[in-house]
Amino acid sequence: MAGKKRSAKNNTETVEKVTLLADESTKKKWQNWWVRTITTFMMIGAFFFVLASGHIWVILMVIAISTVVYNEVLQIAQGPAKDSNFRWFKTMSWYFLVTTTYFLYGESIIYYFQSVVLVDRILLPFATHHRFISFVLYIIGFVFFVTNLKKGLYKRQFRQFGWMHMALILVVFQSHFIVNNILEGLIWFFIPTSLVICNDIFAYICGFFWGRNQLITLSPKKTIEGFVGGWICTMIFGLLDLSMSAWSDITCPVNPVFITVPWKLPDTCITIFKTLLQKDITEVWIAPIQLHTLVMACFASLVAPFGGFFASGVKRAFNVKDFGHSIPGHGGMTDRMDCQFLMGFFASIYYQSFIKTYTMSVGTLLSSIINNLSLNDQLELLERILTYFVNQGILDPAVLQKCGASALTESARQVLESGITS
Amino acid sequence: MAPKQRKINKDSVATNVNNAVGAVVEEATTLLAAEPPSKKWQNWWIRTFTTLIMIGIFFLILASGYIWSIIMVMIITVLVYREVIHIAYYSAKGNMRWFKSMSWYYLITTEYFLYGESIIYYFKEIVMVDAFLLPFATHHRFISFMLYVIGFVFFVLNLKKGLYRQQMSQFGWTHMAIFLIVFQAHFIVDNILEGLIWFVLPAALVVCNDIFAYVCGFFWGRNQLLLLSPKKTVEGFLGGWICTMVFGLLWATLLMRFNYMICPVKDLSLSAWSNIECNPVNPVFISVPWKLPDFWVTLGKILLHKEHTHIWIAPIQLHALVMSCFASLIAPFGGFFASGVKRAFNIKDFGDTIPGHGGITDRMDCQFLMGLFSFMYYQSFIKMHNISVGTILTLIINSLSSKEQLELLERLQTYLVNQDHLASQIESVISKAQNLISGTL
Repeated sequence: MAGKKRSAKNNTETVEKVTLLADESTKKKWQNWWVRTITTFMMIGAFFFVLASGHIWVILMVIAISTVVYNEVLQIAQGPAKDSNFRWFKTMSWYFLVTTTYFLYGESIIYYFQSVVLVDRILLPFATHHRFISFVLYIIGFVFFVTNLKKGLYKRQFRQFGWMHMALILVVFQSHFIVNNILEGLIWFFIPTSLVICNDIFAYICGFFWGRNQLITLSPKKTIEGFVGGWICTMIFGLLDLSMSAWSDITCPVNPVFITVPWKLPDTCITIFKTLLQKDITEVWIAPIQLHTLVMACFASLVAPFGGFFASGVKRAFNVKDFGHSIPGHGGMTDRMDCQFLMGFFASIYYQSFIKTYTMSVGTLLSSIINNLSLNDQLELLERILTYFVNQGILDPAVLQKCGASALTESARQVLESGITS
Repeated sequence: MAPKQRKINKDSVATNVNNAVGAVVEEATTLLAAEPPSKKWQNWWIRTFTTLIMIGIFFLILASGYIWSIIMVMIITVLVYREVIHIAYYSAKGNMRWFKSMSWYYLITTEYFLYGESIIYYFKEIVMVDAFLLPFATHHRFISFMLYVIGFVFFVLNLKKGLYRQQMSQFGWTHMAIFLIVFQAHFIVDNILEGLIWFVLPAALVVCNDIFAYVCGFFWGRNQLLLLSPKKTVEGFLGGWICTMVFGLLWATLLMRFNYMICPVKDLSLSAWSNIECNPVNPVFISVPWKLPDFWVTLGKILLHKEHTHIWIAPIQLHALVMSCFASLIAPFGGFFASGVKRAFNIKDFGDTIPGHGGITDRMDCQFLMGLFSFMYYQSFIKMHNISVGTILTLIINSLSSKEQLELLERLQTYLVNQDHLASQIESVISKAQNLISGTL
């Protein structure tokens, strides 16, 4: 008691004495270095292995990681296991996790696999009314929360309810954007993720050797030298990284962002090159994605770390050293992934805003047809498409007999006769 | 030092005793039906008077025009948000100004994002054409995201030693308020843009349920409904449900006759007295004859000496019944939630703006959940998407390659067969055509 009071008085006057990495005793510093380096290499190795295994494994990896992080984060707000409140909170947090995941991944599946989902008889109603179903599931959880409020525990239960929502928004919601990135193209997952890892590593290294001035009181071991050094190294890495853009042996209409185009160099640069290299270089071949990567590198080094600082703030607020102990030398999964969520979210929004090409696809048109046309109109459309194909010489005229209005089933005829639009 | 410590101990002991006693003896609350008449009726008159005033103002604003209705919703949102944020002030001893700025910043950013989305969606023809507005529309989500990130970075930079827990709590509180108030209220505005009836109907149902539950509880309330809100009774709850369903049916039948109510908003400046028309009208509003079962036909013959073989029902009357059920059975949980919040923080009301009722939040707490439900229900089951065969056909022929067109045809066929509308498939024909196409390409 007394000790606590004394330190409280001191803190307002003196800055907490923290030993920066560059100042630590050599032996201790290098010992920590080796533990972290080995685990880092193992994690990077596992990461590349999963990446090479295929899109679905990457998606599963992201889902698994976000579940682990969600659990670690919630653990902080849980009471002791013997508490009667404990089982209620665990049940509620799992229920909302499953519901939110159902909603988010349902949205993605419906969007990216429209041509499969909308055609299937069983899946169609789930797709058409997906948001309503998800909403009802949420409301069920909400009603259960309210009915389970116990006298004397109100404040705690509301706090846990809020905490859980924050975890859902900051972890589950954001990781969903990362999965969307994967579905847009593995590179839109690889680039942001590797930029954050690179920034972490280089900031650590630069701070290790040259760190002198503290960056932020929240994370006392981080230094300005590390921060800036990490930024520069990450930008360089980002530019070079792109030479490995041969990720797809899957054919696809290539986004123009990947195509190198010549940029006319400004005159000063031309003259410099002439004098230095004795070569006449008037143009430089740049693919827009290299510029986008620079922008992403800036975000990864300057803004994404704030996700990490936020996590540090949470740890300090609740007096925990690490979120868990899964990874030796690093702490829990959350400690390693905290910046990734914000980066993934940024990458997704940036991509949708500046890079994505919106083309008509079979899926989008099919979705319009199935969701927005009445049965009458759908049949009319079918007849007209068939007629078009017959006229183009691609389909046999007999097809119109077989597949047009004459092939209507009894139930369809009733639907059309009663005049109720379906 | 020492006296302070002793005082803390006494308080904690007192709370322990209270908890122990509370577990055994139920809080002795007097239900409305059991109160002494003079007190009961006095409260009744205050509440009735303010209720009528509020309803009057509501109708006046509604009639003034779409834009005023939207502004009304926005103002109420801000007032409720303020009341709710105010509750967390108690913990913001050292950093009240910072907390205030943060909560206002997030409110403005979120409103910018949400209303931007709506404007872009509902007024595409205006926004996309304008040279100045277009980049704001195209990159709207990115801009909103950056605004949020700026707020987030400022939050982290402003974390102060020793205040971490408080500041994190406030951060969480602000987000919950944004999520539960601002987001849900925004759906109400979207409802207005789809057609004023999708705002008036749900809102009226909640008000009606409140009133009738109160009235039924006043006269017949005996059994307590929920520990959380001790003055609510089971009789009031059920009575309110039945009355709301009847009211909902009648109200929907009335509203569906007015174009001002049922037409989607095209021009924000219009009011109840403008000449409004919309084409095509959503089929939900059109009465169709339903064949009555024989039993009812004979009953009608005997009682009314008239032959009624059909009854004219518009789908919206059925939708109104569903909405009434939600308004009476589920929306009140929004109110119970708010009561829980009040108990958790030991306050009687969120504010005292409305005499007899409390603050604005106390009156609006069920409306948010109802508005969200109406939005979801409408988008899922009622909304009409106006696309013609012609536009889709053009898109198919112009934007898809031959291979893709054939794929679309095959998918459409499979869909119709799976839905049991077509009897056969033309697999062989399609595969032959696919070979033909891939051969020529």
